[in-house]
Amino acid sequence: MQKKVIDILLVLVLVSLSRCSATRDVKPLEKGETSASLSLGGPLIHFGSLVIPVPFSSLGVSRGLNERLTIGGAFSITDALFGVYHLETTSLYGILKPRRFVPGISVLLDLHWIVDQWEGNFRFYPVVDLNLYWEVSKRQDLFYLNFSNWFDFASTRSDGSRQTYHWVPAIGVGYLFTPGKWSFGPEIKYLAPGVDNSKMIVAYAGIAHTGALGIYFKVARSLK
Amino acid sequence: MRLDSLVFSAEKLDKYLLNDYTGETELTVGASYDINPALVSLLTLTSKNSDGTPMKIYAVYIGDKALISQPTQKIIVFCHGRGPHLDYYWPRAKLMANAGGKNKYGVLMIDYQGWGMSEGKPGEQEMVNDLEAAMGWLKTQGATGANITLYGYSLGSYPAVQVAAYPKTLKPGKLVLEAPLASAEIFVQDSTLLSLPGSYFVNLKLDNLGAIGSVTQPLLWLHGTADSTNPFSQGKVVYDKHNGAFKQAVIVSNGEHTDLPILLGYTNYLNILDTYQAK
Repeated sequence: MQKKVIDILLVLVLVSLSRCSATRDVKPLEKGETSASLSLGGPLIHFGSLVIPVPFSSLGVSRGLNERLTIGGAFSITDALFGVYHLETTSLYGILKPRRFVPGISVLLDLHWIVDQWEGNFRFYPVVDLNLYWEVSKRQDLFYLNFSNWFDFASTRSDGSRQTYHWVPAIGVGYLFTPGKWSFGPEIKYLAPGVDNSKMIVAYAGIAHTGALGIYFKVARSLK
Repeated sequence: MRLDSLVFSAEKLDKYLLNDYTGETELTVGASYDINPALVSLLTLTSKNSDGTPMKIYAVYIGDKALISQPTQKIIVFCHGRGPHLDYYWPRAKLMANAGGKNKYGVLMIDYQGWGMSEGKPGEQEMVNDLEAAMGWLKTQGATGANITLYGYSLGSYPAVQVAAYPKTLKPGKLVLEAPLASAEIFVQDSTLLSLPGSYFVNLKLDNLGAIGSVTQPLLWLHGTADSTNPFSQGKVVYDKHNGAFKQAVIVSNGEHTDLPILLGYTNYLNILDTYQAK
């Protein structure tokens, strides 16, 4: 009985957390270039005796406005299955291009607009990512580090108590293979590092009872 | 896709086995808590679903029905949690019937719609209607309400709080909440770090927090500090918002969701229940 309870809660929690962390562009597109992407995966959960990533998915489109600025949007497929419409609008700005061992640096402003069809409850969460990336082959494969910051401006919870978490960080590391117009690769994230998960309802697969680890996979195709 | 149905863990039964049930049970109690078979009555009650359609539900009453009308007969109406059916909670009912002495308490336990042999599908309003049906049966047996304690465990705290706050049939004299949840929304927010609305996952409200302020009866609250299903903090906000003249908290250090009577010790647990009746 206890196991059933936990499994259900895991589904709930992971679906919600998966809303928060899909893979996003780290390197600005070329001017005029358009890219479509599919992101899969999510935080790791204990599901029965297994540890699995949350089956989260989203579709995204990006377009390079100039050499530094890429804008885009993404739509969560998983959320839509729950009658929740979750749109992301992204602005990726390249600060520094990579040179040999010096990483490229980019900043992503990712605005999450979420509303449900049931009660029309709306939430808005801004996310700011700092990306460091290296081009590691002639075909411009990318190795990257990602520092993601979720912000929650709500001051209170439903019970009237103070909303404790206004900032939820995540650290990610990924590799993007780029054989021609296609690119694909995995990303590992450590969500909410340092946050004690031992007293939370869900038994996250974290590190030393803190945070939650997540595994993601992204496939993108350049449409330029 | 909604997660409402996952909140309920009802299982259908063709027959109640009670003492002969060999499946998993919430607790295990010894023979000293056995009930005289003559004091066990399987009942069928008429409830209704959220559309108003009559539904047959099942209940079990432990005790001498002829004594229900006696003001001295203490009666606990046990609103079980999301567990599958009456058989699963039968040992708990037997335990409570022995509070204050051998077979001293009357205990009425219902299977909500969709649980066990009860007709219908589980639902929020259905659970409240089912508890009202149980109160109606007690009223027909002569109970006045003052000698009735509603005992809500976990998910069962929802109908217990609702009927204590807004009684339609009988106003129960006391309320006990064991490991209650605060609301579906808080449940969601406890499951995430963000202020996500409950409506992103469920249509259920299960709003104990909204109703507990209307409960004027005494409240006994039991909760384990290590509850990983309904966190301690959820029960605490419910307890804090109760405005009745008397309330008592029994906080079980390192207690989980299902082991409070065990950690307290059955004798101590029953003493707590019995002593509370004098408040």
